[in-house]
Amino acid sequence: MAITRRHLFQAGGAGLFAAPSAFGAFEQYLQPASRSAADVRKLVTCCGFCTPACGMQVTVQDGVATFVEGLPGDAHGAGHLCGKGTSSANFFYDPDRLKYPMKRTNPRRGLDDDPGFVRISWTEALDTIAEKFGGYIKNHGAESLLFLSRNSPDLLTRLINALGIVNRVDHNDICFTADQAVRKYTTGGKTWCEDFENARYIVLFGWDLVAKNKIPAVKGILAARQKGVKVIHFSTNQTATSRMASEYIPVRPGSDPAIALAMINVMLTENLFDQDFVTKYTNFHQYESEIRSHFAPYTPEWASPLCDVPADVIRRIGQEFGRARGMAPAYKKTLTANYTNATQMSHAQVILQILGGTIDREGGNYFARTHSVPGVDTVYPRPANPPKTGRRIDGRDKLFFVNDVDQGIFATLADGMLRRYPGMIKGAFINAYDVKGFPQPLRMVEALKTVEFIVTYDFLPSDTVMLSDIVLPSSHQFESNDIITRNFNAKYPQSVVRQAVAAPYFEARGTGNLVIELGKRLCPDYFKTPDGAWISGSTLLNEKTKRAGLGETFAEFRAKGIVESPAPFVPRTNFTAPNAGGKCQIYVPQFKDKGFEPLPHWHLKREQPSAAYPYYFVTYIPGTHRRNTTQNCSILHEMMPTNQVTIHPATAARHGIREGDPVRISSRVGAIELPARLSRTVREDVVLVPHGFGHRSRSLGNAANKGARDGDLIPDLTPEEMLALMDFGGSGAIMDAVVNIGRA
Amino acid sequence: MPDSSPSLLALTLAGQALLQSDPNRIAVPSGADGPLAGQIRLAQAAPDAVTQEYTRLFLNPAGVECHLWQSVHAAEPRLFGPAHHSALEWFRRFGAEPQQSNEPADHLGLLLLFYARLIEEGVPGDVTGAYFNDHIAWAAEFTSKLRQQARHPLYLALAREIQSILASGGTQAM
Repeated sequence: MAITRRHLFQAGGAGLFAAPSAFGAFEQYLQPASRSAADVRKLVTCCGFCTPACGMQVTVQDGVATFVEGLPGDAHGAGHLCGKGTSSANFFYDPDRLKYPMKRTNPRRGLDDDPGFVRISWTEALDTIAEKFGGYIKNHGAESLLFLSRNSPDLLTRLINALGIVNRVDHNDICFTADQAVRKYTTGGKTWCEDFENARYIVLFGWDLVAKNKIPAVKGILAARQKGVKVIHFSTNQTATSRMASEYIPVRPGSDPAIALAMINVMLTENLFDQDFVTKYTNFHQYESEIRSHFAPYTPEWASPLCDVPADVIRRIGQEFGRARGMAPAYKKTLTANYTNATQMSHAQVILQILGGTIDREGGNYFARTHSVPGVDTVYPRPANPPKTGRRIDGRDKLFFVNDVDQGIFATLADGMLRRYPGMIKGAFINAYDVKGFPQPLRMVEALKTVEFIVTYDFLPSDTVMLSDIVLPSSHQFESNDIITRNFNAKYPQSVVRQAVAAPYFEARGTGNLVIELGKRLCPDYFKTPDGAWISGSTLLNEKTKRAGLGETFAEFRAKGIVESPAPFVPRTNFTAPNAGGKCQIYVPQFKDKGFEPLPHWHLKREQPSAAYPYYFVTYIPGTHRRNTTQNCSILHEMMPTNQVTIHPATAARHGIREGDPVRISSRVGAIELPARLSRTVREDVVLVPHGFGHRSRSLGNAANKGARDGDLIPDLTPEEMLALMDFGGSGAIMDAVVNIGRA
Repeated sequence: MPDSSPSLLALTLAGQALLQSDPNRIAVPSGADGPLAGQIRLAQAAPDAVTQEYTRLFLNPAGVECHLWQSVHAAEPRLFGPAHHSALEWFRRFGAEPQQSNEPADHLGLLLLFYARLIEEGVPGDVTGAYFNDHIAWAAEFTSKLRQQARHPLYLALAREIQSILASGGTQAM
């Protein structure tokens, strides 16, 4: 209804504040308005769902994001966003998001136990955490604290190092640790930028980059296809990427290394490799004899029965790849990174790229060119860190190359907490990790039950929150300020602003603020500037902006939105693999020095089909969702509310299973039940289940109890098993299960 | 004030009880009677039970029983949805805005306090009726859930009070 001046006049001229209200409550909660109409503006920021950080334009009304769209002209998203990015506002305004710090009052800890949360102030929460964590360090040593968190932002790393924390564990073993460990010693680092647009031939192993909605990658693949470039997709199941490829070639799960080894064999045998690149920039000639003899047995005929791809097809693709100087990008979350032979596969893939001469070259994979944004340790030098002493709960110390790249291992953590070092972990800080992300999540729940004091910092009430003693509400990307240096599609430096389009709602706080407040209480000397003042997040960001040359202040950078520094692409001629004389390493002597294989060998994945478990179990992250974090978002939930099990119709018929029937899927460690989806897009020996569903937290209004956890079927690992399987890059091996099925 | 309007006291007490988890921070005028006023006074002697019940009902990370914000009761539940913007618009047209800018404006407690003030200031019935339809009538669903879920007598009394507000306000809005 339209409100007229007459109404306002009748309301008292000066509005509702002209005279005191009858009981005084009105003035306690409402105040005179600071504006008479809505403030509407459009602000530039970037998406936080995945690493490409596509540019966003957000319409903001009175500090509330009301509409999200792609940023026109942005080199990454090209004005487009995927479904997840477009749904950001719905994700942000999820009614179930955590709003205030809470503490548990019920000492009984389980997924089905009501924690009896009561609201507390941030001050009480921080004081309690500092007291508990400080006490554990004093009485049990720093090894008694577990930080389940990635090593960013840099302020968090400063806190972890200042406390001497030895047990920082992250999820990267189930994403890319093996690849990272291999790349460090072959090319010198991650080459995760793909120049698809200029590629001459593209071979993809598993990675469903189209469904994952990595817009820069999808644009590149499309551009290549439009130019007539051949795209080969080897995969256990037909995906969106398969449909965009020139050839989709179904393979036996876990057999990708056999294909890669055979392609290398063809390229070496027929001398179809980039002689110039290999001679100038690799150690090929130093170890040529070992290399040639090593790969000689890995013929296409040898590989064919292992991978179910005809030998002539492998040979043809090896020849085409070699002649074209193709690219075979490895990518985190590719299927190939998730078997126990992932280290071998990553090494083989790098060798394909080296032989193709496409490491840091046009039409290949290249190192990201980024602005140099200094970390907090550069801006504010710190005192010396205490030595990190103590036992490593995930057994990472047994895996030199994982230790070397400072990644944790999810797959071995529960075993460490329950078997190797029971009771060692007294306190845990969990930074937005859900137990669902672990293999055998219920074992992880049991492991967490052994911890005396758990703090979870998260956005939504995950299953982990239900196990926690203190819950802290985190902010969302729409409430955060940061500089995002792009490491996708980065032939020249591009930095995009992440700005707080909205003020933090309720009592959510950003990581920087949380860390500084904990630092003040636990290790104050590390959180002061040289002049003795406390480090402030905003001052730090201003200083980083200035030193990176992005603006005099963060506000100036924010006004620009994106800073690009176009420069010609100059291929690298000096590579940074350790002690490799500036060359890429095909043969890695450091692997040999540590007792491992200097060249990739064929290893079967850990588990093979048997009479009891005759099917390969394959899991994947559907493009609709971001791992296990977005199932509660209303739009994404509507698009994909639950998971199903995909089975080939012939397999289903053998078990009397029809479309939609409930199916019991069992492995040696657990069982789940899901409705059947019959499709010829999977092999007859594959059972396919998407990851991210099966939330138990009943506070997730949309996602609670929808679907089932894939992880319940996936056996976790021990460091000893990893070593025995030559998985020295520490893959979480989440594709390694075998299962049986039956009508439930 | 029209005869059919809910009482200012009922609106004010209900609004505060929804905004405050600590009963000692709810101002109960001396001489105020009625079940809700009585329950608040009783609860002031044992506030912890109310604070815990408030958290369980309205804020619990382990499962909110009754969401306090109108936008969450919309067809597509969310915080800061259209009802938040509409409430802000109503507030602003009468020169007001919430003290807490970091929380949604369509909190039922705020909406009831504003409704009380409109009635107190003698804003015409067609306007208060329109406001009632826009921002109070939805609370029927909330009240129903509250009656089902509340374990503390204060919140059972609160549910009854809001139900009676809805009944009288609904008559007025017609």
